Amino acid sequence: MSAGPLLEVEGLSKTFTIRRGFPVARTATVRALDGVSFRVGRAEALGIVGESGCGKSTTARVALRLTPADGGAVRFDEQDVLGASAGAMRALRRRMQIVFQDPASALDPRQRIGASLGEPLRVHGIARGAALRARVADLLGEVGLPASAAGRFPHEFSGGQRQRIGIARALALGPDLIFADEPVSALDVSVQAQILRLLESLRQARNLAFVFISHDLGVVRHFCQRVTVMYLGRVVESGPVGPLFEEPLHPYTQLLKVSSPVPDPERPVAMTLQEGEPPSPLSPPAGCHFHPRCPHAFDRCRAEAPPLREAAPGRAVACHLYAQA
Amino acid sequence: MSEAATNGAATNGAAPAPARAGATRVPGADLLRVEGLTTQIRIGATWFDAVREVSFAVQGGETLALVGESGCGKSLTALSIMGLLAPRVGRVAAGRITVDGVDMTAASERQREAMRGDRLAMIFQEPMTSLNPVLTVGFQIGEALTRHRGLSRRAARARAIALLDRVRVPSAAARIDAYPHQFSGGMRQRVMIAMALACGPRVLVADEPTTALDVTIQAQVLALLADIQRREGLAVLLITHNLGVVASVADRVLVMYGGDVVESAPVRAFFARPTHPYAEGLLRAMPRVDRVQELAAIPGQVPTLGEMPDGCRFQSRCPLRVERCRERPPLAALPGRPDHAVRCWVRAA
Amino acid sequence: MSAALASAPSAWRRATRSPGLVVGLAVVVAVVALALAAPWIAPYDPNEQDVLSPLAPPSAAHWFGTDFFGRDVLSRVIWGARISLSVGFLATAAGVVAGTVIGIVAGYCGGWTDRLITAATDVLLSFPQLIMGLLLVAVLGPSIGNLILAIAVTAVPAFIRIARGSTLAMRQRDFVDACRALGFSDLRIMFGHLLPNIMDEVVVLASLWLATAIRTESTLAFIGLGVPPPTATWGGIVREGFDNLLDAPWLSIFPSLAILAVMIGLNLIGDGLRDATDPRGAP
Repeated sequence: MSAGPLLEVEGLSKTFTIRRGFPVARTATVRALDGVSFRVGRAEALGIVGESGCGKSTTARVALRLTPADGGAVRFDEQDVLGASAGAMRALRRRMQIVFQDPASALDPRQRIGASLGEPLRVHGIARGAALRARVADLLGEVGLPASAAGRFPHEFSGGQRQRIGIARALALGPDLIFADEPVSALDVSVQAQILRLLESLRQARNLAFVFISHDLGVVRHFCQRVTVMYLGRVVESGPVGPLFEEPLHPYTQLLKVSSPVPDPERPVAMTLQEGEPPSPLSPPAGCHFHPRCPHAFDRCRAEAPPLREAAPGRAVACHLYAQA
Repeated sequence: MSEAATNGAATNGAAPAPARAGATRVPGADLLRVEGLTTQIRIGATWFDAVREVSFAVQGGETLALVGESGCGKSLTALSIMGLLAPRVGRVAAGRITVDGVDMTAASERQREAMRGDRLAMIFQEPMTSLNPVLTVGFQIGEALTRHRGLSRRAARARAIALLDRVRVPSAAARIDAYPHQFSGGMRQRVMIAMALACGPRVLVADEPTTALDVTIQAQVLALLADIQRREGLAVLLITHNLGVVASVADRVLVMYGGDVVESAPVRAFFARPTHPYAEGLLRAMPRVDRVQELAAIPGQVPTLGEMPDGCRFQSRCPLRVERCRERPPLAALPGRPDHAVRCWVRAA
Repeated sequence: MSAALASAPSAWRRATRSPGLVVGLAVVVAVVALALAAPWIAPYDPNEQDVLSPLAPPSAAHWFGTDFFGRDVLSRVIWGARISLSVGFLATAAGVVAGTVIGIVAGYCGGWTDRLITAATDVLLSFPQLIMGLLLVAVLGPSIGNLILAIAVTAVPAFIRIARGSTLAMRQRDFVDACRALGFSDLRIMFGHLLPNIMDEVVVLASLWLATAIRTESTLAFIGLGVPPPTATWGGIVREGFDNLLDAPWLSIFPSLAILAVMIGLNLIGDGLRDATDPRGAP
């Protein structure tokens, strides 16, 4: 057992090519990930927040090798993930799993729950026969579902129950790390709290680490210890949840915070009539991607992309305002 | 021209006293009034009450928020007001809906059509599916004007540009001939708002208008809606599941559960003292960015319409349940607080 | 409204409530049963010639009359059903299997594999289906095996296209990525997970294609490229009767009616299945 971080993502890059137009298709490129780096410790929950198109979901997919990366490195427990052989990757897959946002889409509609949870166990030769059925019942119990659920189909369950099933399937192989991609965004508030509490108890009981991807700052603050903020494919800020949300450094994080509604009429969201649509990821602005919306932007922001550097112990920010020079 | 005629007839017929004369701008008048609305939906061969005896009124310049989770009946209430329930699947079984003095429940379909998009407008959650992808935004904004106001195409186009400008779409004149897919999500929602505003409505029903948007864009759209409402004295019925949005923009709040209004209060009073166990539970289940709090989940899930318990519909999940909950509690005002009402035997006692 | 959707009856229950599907099934099952029972129910040997009563009109002894050689038309139609139906079934089955497998591979693998398969499919689809069958039989020579092969080949591109399209749509679902993240092999994902999920659409198309295959067989037989005589097939009987169409119309009418009945039956089944599996068609 090493003491290093469980997951290390270093300079991850991914460019998508889009061909659009008729009759002559034009090719456009989207830099979905532009040098994304972060680390996740054992049993730690790291939040990744940002708005649509910031690359947070792509990060999970590339780190899990569901989508090939263009550059950078992913190390899981000091093993290279992106360059792993097929055999090594199969072994790694037992330790890294994913939970999706839309529980309706995440389960095979033609597969009974028991088969869905049992299949990974069979494929990896972990259990068969009666032992397999017992494991499936245990998994269902662990996520708060009755063993009888095994005989039913996904459509017989509510959204929250299906998300529990998706979580049980991710747990089947006994992973150390789960990428949770907006796991509660499709759920009603009351059910969302149930699932968050379930994930929290699983994290403690199983010593699980999470990469928790969400657009909801409240959910991330509640569930995670550290958080990474992304904007148009780049990490703009990272740090421990409390200080980061109490006192955000990057102007984008500040905007996110004041725009996030809280149930308190004394603290309404900051409503500005100003423009400031996020630019299209197809043509991000030069320099700091945020500069067209930034109230503090100056010349350097328009020319030069700020690197992510330490601003306080444990906190990093990519903003020229905090440059020591 | 015929719409304009019907329109006028409907007004004269149904509004004896102040409504029409004062319709231009009287703060304090109820522009939208819903009384005892019961809406049923059909599942198989059975009609279920999906909205039960809902009553409220919204004045000009006021925002009333209808909050609740999926299946609570908030969207059905909106569709009932709009007269847009899918026939054969949904129907208004009882109650009266009055928009700007016109009784919508007594009106003919033609009269209702004349009201919709004219004095009564609606915006939806998903602007991409609510806009027609093969028509330019200018045409879609102008359509209501040519239909309801008999404007020429040219005049409608000029007005559409003004409206796009009004909702702060940059370079409106240049983008009037663009198609919906050429706009970002936030801009499409602005286009929808422009469409809704085309005929100068008195009542705006906004069904989850910012739910599909990122938070920074949501803040902009909420700001725009608030600004328009203030200037035009609109009565806004805001349907949302987001209590944070309610706290930011609403004046009054109605919490719905299982088709019932379970709590009704001015927004400050509500957040200061959420009283129905469901409303209280919702607030405690919501993780907040501004502070750390223990999350308390509401156990179980909303029963399906077929499994709804008699009496209080929240009883199956309620921590305060008593024997009497088998009877349906009335929506009763709290002692000494006439505008804060709760449908609960325990809490309203 | 979501409550209404959640309790929507399953596709199967909707299917059995559709009258068209039930009627279609009844017709097709009846014809198949008659074909299977041919040795016992056909009143005569289909190839036995009665030179004394050629071209006899329908009568108590010969319900459908007799042909130029005095063979009983009813018996020939019943026996002909065996060949026509089995050629149709076997050809469709072969086309479905090949087309679906290729289509899933194209849709799942994407990239060059997909581009190559799609291009080939487009080329094949640009030939009218009947002309392609005709060319193949002409090249291969008329025998039952070749006939089945030719009709199957004409069916393949349609199934590639639908399987590929459905696979592409299904591949967007997160469960496919969940399977990959769990370390499942591509074969397992394609045939253990994607195949069951696209079967609805394939089955609907197959029932419609079955009708096409039977019609193609009849058409090829009619223009003389079918199973060699004297074996009775529906198209062959129609063709034999065509020479005497004016003086003995029953020779062509009765086998044509049999073809028509099966066509209508299969199309009713196909439409019924499509309505039942297409959620947009839900009542």
